[in-house]
Amino acid sequence: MKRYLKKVMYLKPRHELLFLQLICLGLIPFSGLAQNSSVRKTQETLLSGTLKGIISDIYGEPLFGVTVLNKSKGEHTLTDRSGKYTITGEPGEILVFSLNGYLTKEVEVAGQNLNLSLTESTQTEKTFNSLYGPRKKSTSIQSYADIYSRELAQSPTVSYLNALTGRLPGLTTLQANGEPGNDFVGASIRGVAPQILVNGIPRDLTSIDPEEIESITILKDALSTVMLGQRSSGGVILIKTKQGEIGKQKVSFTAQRGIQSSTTIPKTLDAYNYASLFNEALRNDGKAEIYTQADLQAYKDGSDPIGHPNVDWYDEILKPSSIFSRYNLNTSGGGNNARYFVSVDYLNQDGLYKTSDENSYNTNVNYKRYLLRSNIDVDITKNLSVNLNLFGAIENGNYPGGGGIYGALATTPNNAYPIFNSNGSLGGNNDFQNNIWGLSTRSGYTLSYNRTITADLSLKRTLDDVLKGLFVKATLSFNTGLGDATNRTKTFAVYKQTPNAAGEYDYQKFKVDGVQNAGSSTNTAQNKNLYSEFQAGFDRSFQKHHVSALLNGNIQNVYVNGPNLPLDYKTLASSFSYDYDEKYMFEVAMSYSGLNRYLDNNRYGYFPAVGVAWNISKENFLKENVSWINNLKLRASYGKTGNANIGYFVYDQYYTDGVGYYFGTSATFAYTKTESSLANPNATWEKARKLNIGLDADFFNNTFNLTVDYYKNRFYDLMQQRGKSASIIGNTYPLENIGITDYRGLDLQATYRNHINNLNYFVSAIISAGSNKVIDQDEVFREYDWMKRTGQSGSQTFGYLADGFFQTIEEINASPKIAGYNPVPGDIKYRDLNGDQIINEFDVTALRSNKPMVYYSFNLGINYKGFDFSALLQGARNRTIYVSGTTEWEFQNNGLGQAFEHHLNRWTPATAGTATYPRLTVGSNVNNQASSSFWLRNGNYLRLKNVELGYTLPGSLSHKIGLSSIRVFANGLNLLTQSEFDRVDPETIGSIYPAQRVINMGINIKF
Amino acid sequence: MKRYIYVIALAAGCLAACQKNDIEKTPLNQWTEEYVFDEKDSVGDFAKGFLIETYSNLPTGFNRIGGNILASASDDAIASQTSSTIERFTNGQISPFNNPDDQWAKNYTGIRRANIFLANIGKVPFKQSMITEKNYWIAEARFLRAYFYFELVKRYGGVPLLGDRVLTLNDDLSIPKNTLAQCVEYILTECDAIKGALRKDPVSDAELGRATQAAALALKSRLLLYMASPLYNAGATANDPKWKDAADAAREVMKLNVFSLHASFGTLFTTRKNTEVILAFQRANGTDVENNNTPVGYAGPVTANGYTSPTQELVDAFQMKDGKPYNQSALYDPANPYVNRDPRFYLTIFHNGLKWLNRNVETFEGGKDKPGGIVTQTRTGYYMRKFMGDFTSSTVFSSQTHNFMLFRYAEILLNFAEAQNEFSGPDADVYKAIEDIRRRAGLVPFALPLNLTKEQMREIIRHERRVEMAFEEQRFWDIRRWKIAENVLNGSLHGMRITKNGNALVYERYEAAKVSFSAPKMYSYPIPYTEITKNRNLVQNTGW
Repeated sequence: MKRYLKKVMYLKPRHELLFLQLICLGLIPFSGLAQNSSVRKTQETLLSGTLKGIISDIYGEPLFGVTVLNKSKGEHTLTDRSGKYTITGEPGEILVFSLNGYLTKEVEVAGQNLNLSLTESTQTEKTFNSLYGPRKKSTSIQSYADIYSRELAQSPTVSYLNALTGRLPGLTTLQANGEPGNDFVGASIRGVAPQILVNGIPRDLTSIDPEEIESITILKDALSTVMLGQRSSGGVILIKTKQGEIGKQKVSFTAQRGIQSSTTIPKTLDAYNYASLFNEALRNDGKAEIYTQADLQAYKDGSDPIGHPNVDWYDEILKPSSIFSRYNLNTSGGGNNARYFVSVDYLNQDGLYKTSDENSYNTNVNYKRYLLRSNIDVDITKNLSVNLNLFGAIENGNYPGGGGIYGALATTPNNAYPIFNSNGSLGGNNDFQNNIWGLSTRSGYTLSYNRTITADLSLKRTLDDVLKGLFVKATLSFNTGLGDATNRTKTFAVYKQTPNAAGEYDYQKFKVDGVQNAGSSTNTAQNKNLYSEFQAGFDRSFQKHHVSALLNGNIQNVYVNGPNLPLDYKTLASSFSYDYDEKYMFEVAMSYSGLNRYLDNNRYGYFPAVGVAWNISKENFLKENVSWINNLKLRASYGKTGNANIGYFVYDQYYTDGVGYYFGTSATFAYTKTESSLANPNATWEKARKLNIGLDADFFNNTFNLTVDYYKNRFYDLMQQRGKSASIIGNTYPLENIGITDYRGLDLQATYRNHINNLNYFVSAIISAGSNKVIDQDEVFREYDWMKRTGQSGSQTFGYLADGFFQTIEEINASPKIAGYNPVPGDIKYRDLNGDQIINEFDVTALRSNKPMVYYSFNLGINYKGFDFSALLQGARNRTIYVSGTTEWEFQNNGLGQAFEHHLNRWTPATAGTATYPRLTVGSNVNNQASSSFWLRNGNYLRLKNVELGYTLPGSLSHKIGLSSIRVFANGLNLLTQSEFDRVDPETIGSIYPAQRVINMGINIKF
Repeated sequence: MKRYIYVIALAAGCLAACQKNDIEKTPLNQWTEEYVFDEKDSVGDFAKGFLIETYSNLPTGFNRIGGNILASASDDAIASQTSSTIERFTNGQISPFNNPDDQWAKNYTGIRRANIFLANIGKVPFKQSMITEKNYWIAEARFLRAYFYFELVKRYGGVPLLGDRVLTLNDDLSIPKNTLAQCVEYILTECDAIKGALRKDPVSDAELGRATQAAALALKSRLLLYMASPLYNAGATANDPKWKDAADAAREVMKLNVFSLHASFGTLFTTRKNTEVILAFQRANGTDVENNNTPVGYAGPVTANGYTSPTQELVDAFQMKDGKPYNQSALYDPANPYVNRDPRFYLTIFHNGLKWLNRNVETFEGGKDKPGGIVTQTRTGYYMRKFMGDFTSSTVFSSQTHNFMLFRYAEILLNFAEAQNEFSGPDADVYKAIEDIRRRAGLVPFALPLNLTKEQMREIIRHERRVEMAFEEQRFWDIRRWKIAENVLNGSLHGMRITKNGNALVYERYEAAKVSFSAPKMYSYPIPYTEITKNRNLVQNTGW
């Protein structure tokens, strides 16, 4: 079986579907059988009154410490090391088996021998991953949130980052592009871009399969990140990959296949409506119409598809859906001396572009990814262990040779040109020389290759023989990535077909049909990263006193861009924590950290943080009186962090090659030198002072968990150009440490987890609310307070306040106007804030609300006798979208642009009362297209982000064919979206590849 | 066991150590000041490169404003594309917040470069044989700086004068304006100071394009002419001495006896070195002027954007071949208005029927070059022809010299004629200057009527200047300094609608664009609002 599955991994794509179908077909009889096994009854009848058995996990490993409760009698016991238990129980009585981290099972006694296997749940663990190792949750002061493999795998996404949306309080994501290979979300923690660490080492890897990730932890406050020194300001996404565990070999194979389709497609106007509105716009401009009644009729009845085309470009260029498939095989296990986790992963994602049979190659977007991971732990001696993590990734992309297809789709009117002329040549004309079909199928293709290898080796020596609780650890790690591309693009000709006098057609040619390029560009992306670390730690309890200390020194060389010198980080960090009886907690952490990009004498910064916590529930007055409170911990931390947002050795004034000039009768090019932008010898790192106040609580027998964090972060010394950058200096100003921005907000996660008989369920709510405010940015002189940028959010948009439409000439005459523009009824009216009767820069003010942006999500999970279901609703409030440009306005680009269905609601004298869009004009319009509140849309949305339905076959069945478990599942991503502004996807706005809805099915086999 | 500790500690220490010092402390591939102004280079190679880069800050001309020529902001042309940014000059939308020809930063960048050069050139240990060259360079830097100030002054009036200062981040950058008089004085003093130090004309073939003695004199000539003009010299009386200064300055160039009018107006702009050019913005050979301005119907084998639509007003300004205005000449035929015109007309404007790339231009309604519909096309029935090579019977364009004339001798003659006429009336020298230009143009007869009054001669000179210098960024400033923009740029500009009626063509003038000019404020540019807010000592120009 194993060999067969491995072979399957490398099946050609067209075989994948067949394979998946076979597996699904094979499952139907099993699922039929499964319905018969309701409450499990024990078979044997032995001594009445006592019951024995072994509790194991699905792999048959005995489980220690499972609570076995006789519900009827109230008696309970625990399983021993070999998973065995004995308890009294009469037939008909209900036994409840529960263990932290596993789904609770209730079984009716029907005999005297009862062996059970428990399934792992998403129950939270007792520890979490801090920056340099696991920490006990109960005594932690740090602000963090984490998510485990099981939940990550629920989302059919390519990057683990996309699977984090809505699952971690404090982390927000934005998916700005849906194109395969480029669809990673941008993640931010508390409003700032985070640092990603994989297995404790800073590196930006986005291509890690969720199946090989054990957990992702985000670290949010100063105390948890300060040891990163110059990289500690932005919060941390900490990825821990799976490690092997002692036990028999476990193998897990997952195959899944999904269908992707665009969440929304802009609704463009058909040729008839387009031409009619165009005529109207021209009339509005006081110009002659260009489409005659005959033209309009031809557009309407389609009688002249060449001369009067009506092409629905989205339909013609894009397929309704594309395929996404993925296979993962991993195995883990180990003995007393060595443990391993090995995983291979293959993913193939197609794009939406239609292809043409005339090509022997593929012009559709395609993204293939091959991942290999091997994590090995070996105990060399009792005290010395070595850990080796190896990871390799190959990512190959295929893209159509013509760029800007989505841009062209969004901006090409349906009547611009026919796809094909009568003679089969591509249509086009002087204004439209890039036939979109030509862009997508006749421009050749581009291949991109990216390869990544990472290797981490660490040695850990416990020094209990010297001092109990002491250890040292050394780590050496490197990763290297290289990208290159093969350019096989070509140009294509388009022809304008016009009837001539002879009754034939003339074809006017634009551009040329070229042969394919055979270019290759090496080194399109390159990174090298060498990291070494030495660590010493001490962790010990003395009666009720618990002390933990850590010293960490590390050096990292990061080459990010070919010829540039590497970033050379050096950090010495330490932390010390103490708790008394898990009741009073104290921690201090600090780092002394430098980077080679600063002047020698100003290279190292000192970053300290401190935290305290108090677990009230451990106090006797609560412990003895309030039984429903299991845990109630108050914590606070404060610290100063750093961010090396520095350019490339900006302290020195550099000179660079100029644009050159030509002297002489032969116009000889003279090479020149000129000043680069001005140097800033005083540049230093950006800093933040971060305060975090939090509460962790568990109530009602730990069924209800609540974590709330309030933060107030002041980022200062932010690198920005000075406001008073008068150009009289004659050069570009450098970035200087000027800006101050405050971020504040609230992260909340509340979970209720319980079971009703065999129905295990949880509901969870997450809120990440945050806002920022510019405190200082060296603002230039502003005549009026409403113009000021300071005090506003950093992402604020400025413009005029729109006041509806002008309805009458009288109204216009009585109103202030933009200088040089003579409005007519149907134009947008603006508010004259300073009352000078002119609409100008002095009437520009903040348009968006400064209310905190709220990202929220609800997560629901149910597990019942092999069936599991989960759903994630994710949304955003107080969000606004500013729409503008070719995808919003009509007839842009001097009238060559597109128009959309929302333009049908334009202002006309007849629709003056109900119009939602100003009167139509051709090209740019100084008045209506000015930055104003008119173009601000409600950006709130609520998505059914993720649903998963799974069924695990009863163990008895899977065991029969030698497997530990078989689970079939179906899940989806971005299934439903509810948003007030629903013309486009609320995240992918503009003329780009939209976010994808994925409906995915798969099977997971464990043995 | 303990030895393991040592092993680990050693390993870690080694790791830390072996990464040390294997990288450069600062990027050694970057040029720094000591490379550019090299204290070891006796020929100052990079220092020369730094000076040459300063030349690139000179005005580039041609379609520099969003694809449009500056003339499209005057009464000579309009932009073919509607809603072009250049329309702001003629529709009243120009403002401190929005000026498509804002040259504030560009010229202060040039001034900084010149000042850095002047401040550092002393560090370069030139060998004896290079000293002359070095002195030329210093004078060139000072010329360029003076020229950049002139570019500022004609737009903004008085601006902050920096002298030789190279400003730094730590300086107080809230520098107030100097008066117009101070700025003019500065430019003139600089011109006088360097005119002897610059290269003499004509320069060798290799040095073509350098600022020469004549360039400094020409700058002085234009500046003094401007300053004598009504805009800057409001209370001028007859025989105002400012006119004399201007005439003298022009005469100084003429007296060099180096320059003369190039024989052919047709090849003047595509001949890199000729006897007429005094200073030009030097460019590589190319076809960009052809691509940008060729009538749109030629698109396909060539790029033909047709950005410029010359106005009927400019067409009317071209006289008939006999040197008479079209409405006073017997040669004019309203049914065939483009025959027998001033030969410069055919080299300046594409009209319907002119041959180009093997076919006749069709700007009649529905013709290939005015097809109607939404595509960009002429708004007046004309396209710009000037500066292009002769591609009458070619199929594609070949690369041409497209240097943009900053000073040419014809302007000096026109400057002289205008100033001299204003100062002392239409004397023989005035006649000769204008008639030289008309002779070169190919007018028969080229001679002007005798006994013209000063006022008549003024009109002739202004007219001659308009057609001779069309599209060369002169008219835009001329209508300002003559204070006639409020007349010629208020109301309408016209085009010619040509309707094909069988084989006959019907010509009809029509309003092609409405224009407005708000006097007096638009006679000077507003200082950019952003500069005002960044420097509170900078006072906005009146009216803005």
